[in-house]
Amino acid sequence: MDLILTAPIVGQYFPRTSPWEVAYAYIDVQQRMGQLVLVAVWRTRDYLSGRGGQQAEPQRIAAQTSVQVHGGSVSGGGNSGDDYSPVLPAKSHRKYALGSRSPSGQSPVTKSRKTPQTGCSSPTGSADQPIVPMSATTNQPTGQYHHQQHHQPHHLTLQQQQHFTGAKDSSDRESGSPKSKTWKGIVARQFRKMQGQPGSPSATGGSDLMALPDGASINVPLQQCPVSEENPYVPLVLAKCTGIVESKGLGVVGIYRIPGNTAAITQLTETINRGLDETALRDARWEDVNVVSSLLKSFIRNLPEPLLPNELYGGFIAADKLSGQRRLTDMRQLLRRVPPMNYETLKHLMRHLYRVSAHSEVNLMDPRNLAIVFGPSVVRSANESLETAVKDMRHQCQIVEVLINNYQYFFEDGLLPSVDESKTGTGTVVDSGLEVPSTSLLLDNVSKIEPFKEQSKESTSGFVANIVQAANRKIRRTAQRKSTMSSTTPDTLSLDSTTSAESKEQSSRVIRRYLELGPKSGTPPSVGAG
Amino acid sequence: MATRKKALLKVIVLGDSSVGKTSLMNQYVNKRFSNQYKATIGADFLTKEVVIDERVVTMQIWDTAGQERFQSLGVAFYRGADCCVLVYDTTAPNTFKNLESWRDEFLIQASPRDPDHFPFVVLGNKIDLENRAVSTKRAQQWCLTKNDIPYFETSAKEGINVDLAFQTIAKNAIAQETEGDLYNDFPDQIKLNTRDSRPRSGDNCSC
Repeated sequence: MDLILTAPIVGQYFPRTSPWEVAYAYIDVQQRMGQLVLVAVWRTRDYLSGRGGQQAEPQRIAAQTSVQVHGGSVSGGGNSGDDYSPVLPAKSHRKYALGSRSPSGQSPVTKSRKTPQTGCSSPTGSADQPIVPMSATTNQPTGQYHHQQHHQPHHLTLQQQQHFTGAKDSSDRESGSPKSKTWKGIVARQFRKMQGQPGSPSATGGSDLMALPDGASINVPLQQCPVSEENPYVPLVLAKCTGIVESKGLGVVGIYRIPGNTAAITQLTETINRGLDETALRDARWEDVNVVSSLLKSFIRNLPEPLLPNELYGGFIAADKLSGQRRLTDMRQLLRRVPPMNYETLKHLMRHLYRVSAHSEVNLMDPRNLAIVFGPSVVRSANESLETAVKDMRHQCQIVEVLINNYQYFFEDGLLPSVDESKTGTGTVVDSGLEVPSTSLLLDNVSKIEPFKEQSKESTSGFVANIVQAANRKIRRTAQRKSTMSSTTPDTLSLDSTTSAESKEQSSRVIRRYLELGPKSGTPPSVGAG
Repeated sequence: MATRKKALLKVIVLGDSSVGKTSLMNQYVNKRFSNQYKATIGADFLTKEVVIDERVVTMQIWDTAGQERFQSLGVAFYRGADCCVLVYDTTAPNTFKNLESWRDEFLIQASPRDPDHFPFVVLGNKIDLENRAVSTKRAQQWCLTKNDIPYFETSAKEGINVDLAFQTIAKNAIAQETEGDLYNDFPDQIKLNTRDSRPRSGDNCSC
């Protein structure tokens, strides 16, 4: 394919297209076809920078003959920007502006794809700052926007940047990790934000994830936190919080369970993140023990990497499912594989929680309560789906509970406790008969939200997943109607659990039916679902 | 079909830690109060049958964990709720201040079709305690600004106003239900419909 061939075709479809735009469309097509594009993009970029007042590198362009051909046929012009200028419509200036924005890694495409996402998370995770000015540039009157979409110049700018990055053209780039600046990085970060930031009443310092100065402690990787003087592996903020709680919070009822004032926590977080210097440490908000305890929780919760390293997460969950002494020995072995910084921090935290729980007669925070508070923050997987979060919730709590209960064994080379002790540890957490159906109902909800995750194991195509979903919904409805017929509470509960099993069976039957029918008769999905 | 009403009402109880969400639910469903100090893991639910306007309706009451970290699971809890109960502790002003964020959070996560008219009920719990810190007037005023949310002052311990509050919750939930579905039950299909009906320019070419 060549531009000479494509140009008339493009012209046929879009008669009002200027040659310049055809070039864009062409380059885009080329990009989709292969790496050759890079050359073309270079060409374009040189041209653009030429317009910006800087002379492009003619030698380079001249050396790339293939581009010369393309460039020549695009607008029948030479290499200098001046030749192009009369042909350029006003829009091109905008494109130029976009091109020059490339260091930010933002493109209109990124923006337009992102918009619904940011919309979803709206008040919780405020949109990434750098995007805002971009959207202002991009938001042209809609008519024009659509017109441009025919030529997909947006794709160009996006890919252009990717190619620049690929070509190690760092001169244009501002500082910062290239990964985090690409659209992928930004989307991922936004996603993490949505997942990790609960956005709940206590989402402290959630919005300042972006630009934290050196010396910040909350929302930064553990390795970057300022450390305490006593132990260089323990973050200063943790040492400070635990110290305060131990000196005046051990007798406070519901310590760690009861949240502090949200505004105070946010302000203290901001102060701390400006650097833990003398003035920060003298802040009056440290006086409120509930603020301090909430701050500590926020610190653990907002660690970008979980305190228990991600690669050990599965191991810990699996170890928790074991019983007797094996559960303890396996877990201790896993703990030995935790990197020093994480290990010492975890040890410090567990020793602290052990001390707090020693006063549980007064503060009512026994290991179990503390574990519920800390479990899902300490033991979590970095890319946790809702489904695993629900499934593992109980284990996350149990792991922390067992760590607190057996602090001596795990962290101080204490003797292996007797099996009975560990058994009661498990038993106290999984006690209520209600918990199983509530988990299954939760998972049911999760499957509605993350529709394709669960079904993807059994089904081969998205269509099948859709059918299953529809079938499940239908079954669920009838089940709900059925369940209302039952008379007493326990019956309803047991019915719930059976119906969910039933519905699974039914849905798998639906899949089978579809797979049998589908290829033969080509039944449309809707028929299969009905 | 016109009289199709949901016979199962899903009610979500939200609020800060230790305001008494679990206790309220237990008092209402089991008529029991436990002095045990016990945080909730994730969420739990109990069901209770209530008679409203001569109709038997099953209430499925979801008691959620107040802990911040569990809130990331909110989507899974909140979805399909027919009514949301916001609880605060009348002796702890912070828990009252946080009602606003709980409400917002719920509306974001559950995303009901008509957020302005989604049925909420606010409960000020622990009125049996003497060290009251949030006045009735202040709570009522807040409720008024939020589209006049019904407000009750309760004591899960003494069983004060608990039945009355949950009766109202059920009534509001069912009243809402008759006005139409709160959510788009078939999001996929609706998406398809809108896609079909919306005129599209040729921007979906993915060749």
